Amino acid sequence: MDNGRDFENLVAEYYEPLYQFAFSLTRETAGACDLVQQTYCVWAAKGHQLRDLSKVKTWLFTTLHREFLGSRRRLARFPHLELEFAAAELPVVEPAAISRLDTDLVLAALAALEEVHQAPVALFYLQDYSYKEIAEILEVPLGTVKSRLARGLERLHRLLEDRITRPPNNAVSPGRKDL
Amino acid sequence: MNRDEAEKILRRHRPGTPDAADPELAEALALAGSDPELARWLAQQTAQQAAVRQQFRRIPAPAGLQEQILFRHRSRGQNRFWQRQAWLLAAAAAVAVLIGLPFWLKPGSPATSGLALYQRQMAALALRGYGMDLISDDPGQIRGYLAQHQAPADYQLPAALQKSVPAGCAIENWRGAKISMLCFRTGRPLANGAQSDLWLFIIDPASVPDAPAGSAPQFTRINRLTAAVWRQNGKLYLLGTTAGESVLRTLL
Repeated sequence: MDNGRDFENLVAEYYEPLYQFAFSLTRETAGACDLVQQTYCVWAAKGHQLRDLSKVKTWLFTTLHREFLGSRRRLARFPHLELEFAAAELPVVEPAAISRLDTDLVLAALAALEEVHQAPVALFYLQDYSYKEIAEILEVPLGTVKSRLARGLERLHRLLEDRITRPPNNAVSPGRKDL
Repeated sequence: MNRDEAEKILRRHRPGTPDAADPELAEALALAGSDPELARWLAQQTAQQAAVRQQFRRIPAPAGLQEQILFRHRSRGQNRFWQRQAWLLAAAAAVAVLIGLPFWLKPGSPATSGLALYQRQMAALALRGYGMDLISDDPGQIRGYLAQHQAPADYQLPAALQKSVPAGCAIENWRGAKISMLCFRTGRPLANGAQSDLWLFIIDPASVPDAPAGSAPQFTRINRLTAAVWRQNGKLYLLGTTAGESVLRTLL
């Protein structure tokens, strides 16, 4: 499969969702492009070892995630963010408030989650992967995925609710890592 | 299962996906079916999930990424092809040497000059196409990438060049030595499909037998590329651009 038209088809089909996943992890264009490029390089070198071609998409996402973890270990350039979460009671989110969400805000909230929650939450939203598939991609047990999703989603929603229910004059522009 | 537990589980519910087959979710959904307050909460939760999902899926992939992946793949494919055909290449090279021997042995011939050959090959690389290994406008990230891959990374950029915007880097090989190739943009309009118009090549001068000894730049022109070569702190630098000598001089 690693030649000519097949490779082109594989790129055409998956480079966008792979980029979205990469960008949701790195929050920077260059880093995300590099991860996607590297993922396809690994496929070109090792893709022939994959026997079940129905798993190509999962294989690509797994590889991208491995490359991301590897690059993080090497560069260690992402600061840990201390957070204070809202009180236990969740405010009701009105439909009008929901419409105030934008991509930057959502990604900034994702960036504020604990690291282990970010990838499962991104996959949860970006692709309709089952919990089992997310577990395969991230190479963690199914129960771990469920618990990380539960915690990650709860925190993500609290952060977003805190942002979109805040009075506009106190609103922070939806920049990166400013939560 | 009480309402709090059900809410916790229902946070990871996505209607229309295989999630409902999960036994915990199935039980929580059944509870929502009999609890109006939980059902109302679930409806709000589902609406918010849909809004968040929509924003995630709006992340746009940069224009040109697909083409760059394919270009890089083809470049590597060609390299692999020629590696497999090494015997053919060796035979062709032997024939070429026999035919061109009188010319090659002529004193002063550029073909026998290590520096001239190096300059021509770097010009060909810059002008005829290359794939960047790292696309980044972050000088620190570029230096880190090169260091990580054991390519020359302890380079010193001329002060003026430090103000240019980097586009990325690549690692090339020449006679067994690694070359760091830094790509920049001068700020002038780029040719169609071009990613940069200014390139800095850094190599160990021991790999280029007649490399200049001094730090004063020597200018030359190879096809459309104007280049300057100099040595500094144990590195041989070649800076080339398609923007012309006047631009090149302002960067040194």
